[in-house]
Amino acid sequence: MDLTTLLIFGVPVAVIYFIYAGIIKKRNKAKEALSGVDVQLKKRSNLIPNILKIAKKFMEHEKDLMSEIVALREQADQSYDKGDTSAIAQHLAVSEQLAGKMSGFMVKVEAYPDLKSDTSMLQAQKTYNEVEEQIAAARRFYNSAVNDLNNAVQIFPGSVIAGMINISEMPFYEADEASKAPVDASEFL
Amino acid sequence: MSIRLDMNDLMRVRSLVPDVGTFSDTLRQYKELLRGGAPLPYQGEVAFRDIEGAEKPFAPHYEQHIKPLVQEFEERRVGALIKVRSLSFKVLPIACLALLGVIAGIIGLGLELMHAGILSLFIIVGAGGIISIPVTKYKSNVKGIIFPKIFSFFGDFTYDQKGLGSVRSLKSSGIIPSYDRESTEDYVRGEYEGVSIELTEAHLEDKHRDSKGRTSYSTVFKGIFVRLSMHKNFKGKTIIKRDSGGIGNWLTDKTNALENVKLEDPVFEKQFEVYSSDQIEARYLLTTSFMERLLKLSSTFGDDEIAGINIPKSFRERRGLQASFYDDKLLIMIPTQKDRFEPASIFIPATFEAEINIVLGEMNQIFQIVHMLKLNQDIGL
Repeated sequence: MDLTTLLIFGVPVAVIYFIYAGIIKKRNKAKEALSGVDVQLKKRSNLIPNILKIAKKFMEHEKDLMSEIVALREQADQSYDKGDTSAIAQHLAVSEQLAGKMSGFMVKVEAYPDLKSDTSMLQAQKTYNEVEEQIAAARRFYNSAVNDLNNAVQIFPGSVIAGMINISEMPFYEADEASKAPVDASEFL
Repeated sequence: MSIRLDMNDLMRVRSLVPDVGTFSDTLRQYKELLRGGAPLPYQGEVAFRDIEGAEKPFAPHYEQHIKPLVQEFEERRVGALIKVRSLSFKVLPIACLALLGVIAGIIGLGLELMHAGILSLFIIVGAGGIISIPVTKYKSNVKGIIFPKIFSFFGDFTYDQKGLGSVRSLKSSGIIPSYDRESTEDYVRGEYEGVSIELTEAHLEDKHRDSKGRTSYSTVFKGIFVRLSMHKNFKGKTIIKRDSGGIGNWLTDKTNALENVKLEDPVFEKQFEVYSSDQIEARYLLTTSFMERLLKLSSTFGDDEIAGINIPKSFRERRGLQASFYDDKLLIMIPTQKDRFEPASIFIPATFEAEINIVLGEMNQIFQIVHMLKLNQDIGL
């Protein structure tokens, strides 16, 4: 095999290999980022029962909201297929709905002065805020990794190679529609 | 009359720092001293800056801790100037004779001009060094005795003119450049609004050897290191370096044990490169609002007016602010050619008004870092 033949066949094979390796790396990075999100979501999930337990005796009128939170928490805790993009999207959407409900719940706590000044509640709120910050950071890493992956699988020739190895785009972890809407504080007070 | 500083306008701080004596001022006053002019005691009124938001003015602190030392230091200052004059009358004629000898050597013995130049320089520097011994001693006493008393105004702040000791203790931050020789001075430590502050001035140099085996040194960093406590808990390391361009960043990526972190803010990304041991932790620390504050800090402290010298823009961009989150602390490296926390000219009476205003002005800038980065507020951003 002479050098010309080697170049004609070798260069395209090398290019295809590097694109393939790049897509796999980006997919793995996105999965790593998704695991990071899940670790933080689990922290929040573990915290919610404590918060609800502290609030229960003060917030008798908010039983419906608390039930909704419990139901959403159970949904968010369910295992899902990390290879299925629609399952990921569903999991992230439920987690975001839970965040929205918890945010509304925390605003309602303000209307109960005894609960607001309770030391256990204050500590729980502080920890919750800390976990929310960690979730926000994990979400930014996940979205950045997903952006890289989606660019790689959408742009030619990556799109062709990704199609051949059955790697598709992953969903972004976006804020839910409810949290994008302007907040009407009077609803919570 | 005291001057109130605007916390949000660092540009003004520099212009308010009193003139502590330019070279030409010092030379003029030195000539006056040699002509027999007596150092006059201060006739005016002592005035201090106020730190915005400070609960107490400086005047009572001055009355209690510094004023009792003024008489003693004024005597030391006058004594030092008298010694300078006396040494000048002895050393200057000898130095002049030696310089005349060098000229004679050039004319009579065919001394090479380069050798003559080195010899002349040696004579001038030597003479200057001997004459300025009393000044150095006086200034060292001011830094050793008066400066700690000025710093005690800020609470439990301590000051040591010797500096941190070695910058090697900061090496694990990952932003200290490699160097062969170091010198540190002015180590300040204390707590401000719940934030622990440590700062030191440092000069790091690289050693070079030319083909003839001659050794020379070049500056790799000159400025201050500020270490601040954070409200956030973190375990890993995240460093913020100046963007060094495509090839530079690629090389850093390949040689760095930390992973490159791509952040959302395009302006921040253009100026800085972030590396971290934990992608999520890096984003936890560098929130979008914190990135914005860091950019503001960088533009403020990268300003030549603030740094006190006219640094070319390209140099500032290369040598600008860098930071590292490690060991529960934030370390900021601010390059500046200006010597901070220096005593005023010996020709200024020992009321320490200038020194106090310098320290208050310098510390105000450090406190502004805390305010700009909102490290004193546990707001989670």
